[in-house]
Amino acid sequence: MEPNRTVGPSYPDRHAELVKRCQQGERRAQYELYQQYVKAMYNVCLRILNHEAEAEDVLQEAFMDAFSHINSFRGQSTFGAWLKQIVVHRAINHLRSRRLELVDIESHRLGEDDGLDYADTEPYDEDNTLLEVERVRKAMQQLPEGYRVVLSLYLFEGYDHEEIGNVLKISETTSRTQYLRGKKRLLELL
Amino acid sequence: MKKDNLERFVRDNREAFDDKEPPNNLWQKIELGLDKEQPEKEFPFRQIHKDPSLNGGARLGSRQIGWPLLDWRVAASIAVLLLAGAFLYMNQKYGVTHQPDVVAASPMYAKEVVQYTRLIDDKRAELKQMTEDNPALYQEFATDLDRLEKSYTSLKADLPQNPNQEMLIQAMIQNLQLQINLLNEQLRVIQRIKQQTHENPV
Repeated sequence: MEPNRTVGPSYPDRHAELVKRCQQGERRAQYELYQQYVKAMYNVCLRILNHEAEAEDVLQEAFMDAFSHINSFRGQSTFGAWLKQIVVHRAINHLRSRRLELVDIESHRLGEDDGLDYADTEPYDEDNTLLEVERVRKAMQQLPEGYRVVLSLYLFEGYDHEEIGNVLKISETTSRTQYLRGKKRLLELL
Repeated sequence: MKKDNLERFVRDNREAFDDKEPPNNLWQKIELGLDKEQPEKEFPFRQIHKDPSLNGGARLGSRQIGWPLLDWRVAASIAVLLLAGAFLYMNQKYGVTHQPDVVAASPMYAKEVVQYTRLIDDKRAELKQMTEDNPALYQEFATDLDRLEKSYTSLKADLPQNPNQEMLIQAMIQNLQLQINLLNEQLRVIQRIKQQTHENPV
């Protein structure tokens, strides 16, 4: 993980201040931190779990967890990175409770054919980009769970394969192959 | 989209991917959860929760980060609530408190009995309300109903010492059904009377 990639707007000082107030148990500061991060973290959960209600539950637990253990946060990384670790871990554990298996069995479901192919034109105008974002998101949702998780962590959360291996309790090599296959499948879907 | 472009695309448009709005009531839930938690005391076993690798280090052990710290009081109140809920549910279903002897004799029929008696109570209330302006009529109706009610009560009284309980309960249920039919009939009559006075006001 790039330890300094913050999520949301980054006001290092103000956040450090907020974190300090949280450590003294101030509810308002907790709320402000929550406001800063809830949206980004919710989207992290959604990508990993692909299920709104579960994402909501996991997010709730993660925030409670973070606030009740905020004294163990020593500021070696940004608060956002620290929080994200908790969120990701909880999401993965939740998946595991759903019996995540990184296997290659998958329903070969082709999404609706969008018909559009931006193979060579790099879309840089606003609408096309948004459309592409939506398409990538849809394709992600259609991936088999194992691929989806690895791609979420690598592509979106900036984890490297060693870290993914640790989180998912698989080898680095497995993570790599999963990622490559997942990416291939994603591109096919696109 | 070209293969090597995917990573760049995601990186360049990372913000756009985070556009789903979290639910509004989430903070309330979190706040509730935090309020339930005890301020952390330093018990030796609490050290388990102090995962040192959480201090911003990239590695996390394989251990799950702690539970929200539920203490026994929370657990106890949850248990009490669950028990109370279960009791109310069973009561709703079998009406143990309303029909203890029937439940004891035959739980299978108890539910039916409870449902009917409840229906009868409702309909009686309705009847009373509909005939407010006509007490004579209500009296008449009530007499018929009370007759059925009496025979039901005597059946019920026989229940504990009767050897053939199932038969008796079936008789009780039949009686209740009669009461319901009678009530329905009476309500219909009132309805008709009301309609007529409505159409031809005296």
